[in-house]
Amino acid sequence: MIKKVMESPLAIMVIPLSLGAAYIGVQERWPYVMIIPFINVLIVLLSIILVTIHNKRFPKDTMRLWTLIPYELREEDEGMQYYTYRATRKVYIFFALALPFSLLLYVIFGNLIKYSDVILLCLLYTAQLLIFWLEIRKAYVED
Amino acid sequence: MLHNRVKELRARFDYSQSDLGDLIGVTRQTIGLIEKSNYQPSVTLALKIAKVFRLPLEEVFWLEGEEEGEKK
Repeated sequence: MIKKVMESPLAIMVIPLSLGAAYIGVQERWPYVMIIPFINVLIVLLSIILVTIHNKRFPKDTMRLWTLIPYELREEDEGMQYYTYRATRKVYIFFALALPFSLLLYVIFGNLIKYSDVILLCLLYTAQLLIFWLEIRKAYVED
Repeated sequence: MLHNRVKELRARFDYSQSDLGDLIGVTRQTIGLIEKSNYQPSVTLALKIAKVFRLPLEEVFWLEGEEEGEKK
C-alpha cells in the first residue's frame, strides 16, 4: 500500500506542482503562501518515514528514496521492461509534439497570460506522469 | 502472433501466477501478461516456462496458424 501510494503520479507531482504554485503565490503576494514550502518539508519527512516502514516490512521489495533513476525505470523483469518501453515511447511522442506546440503557445500568449511559462511547465510535467502511469497501469490490470 | 497454454498448464500443475513467477524469476504481473498474450516472452523465458512444465517449447508456445502443440 505504501509503495503504491509513494509511486503514484499524484504523490510524485505534489512537490513540483506546489513549488510552481508557491512561485506564483510569492509573485502575487498570496496570503499564507509560505506555508507551501513548509508543507513540502513535511511531505519529504513523511516520505522518509513511510519508506523506512515499508523497507522494514518488506526487505525483499525495498524502495529507494534517494536515487537519480526515476522509479518508473526500475523495471523488475522483462515483462515490466516491455511496458516501460511502451510508456516511454508514448511520452517521447507526446513531448515531440507538445514541446514545439508549447513553445508556440508561449511565443503567442506569453505576454498575455501571466506565469504562462510556469503553468506550461507544470502542465507538461503532469501530462508526462499521467501518460506514463496510464500505460504502466495496463500491466497491472487484473483478470 | 504467439499463443500459449501457460494458463492451462499452470492450472494442471496447481500453480498460482506467483508460484510460477517465483519458479522462473519473474513477477506475477508478467505471467499474467504472457497468459493473455499481451506480452511475448523472450526465448530464454519461454524455455524456462517449458522446463517448469516438463514439456518441449513448441507444446507450450506456438505461432498463430500452426496446430496446437498437444495433439493427443
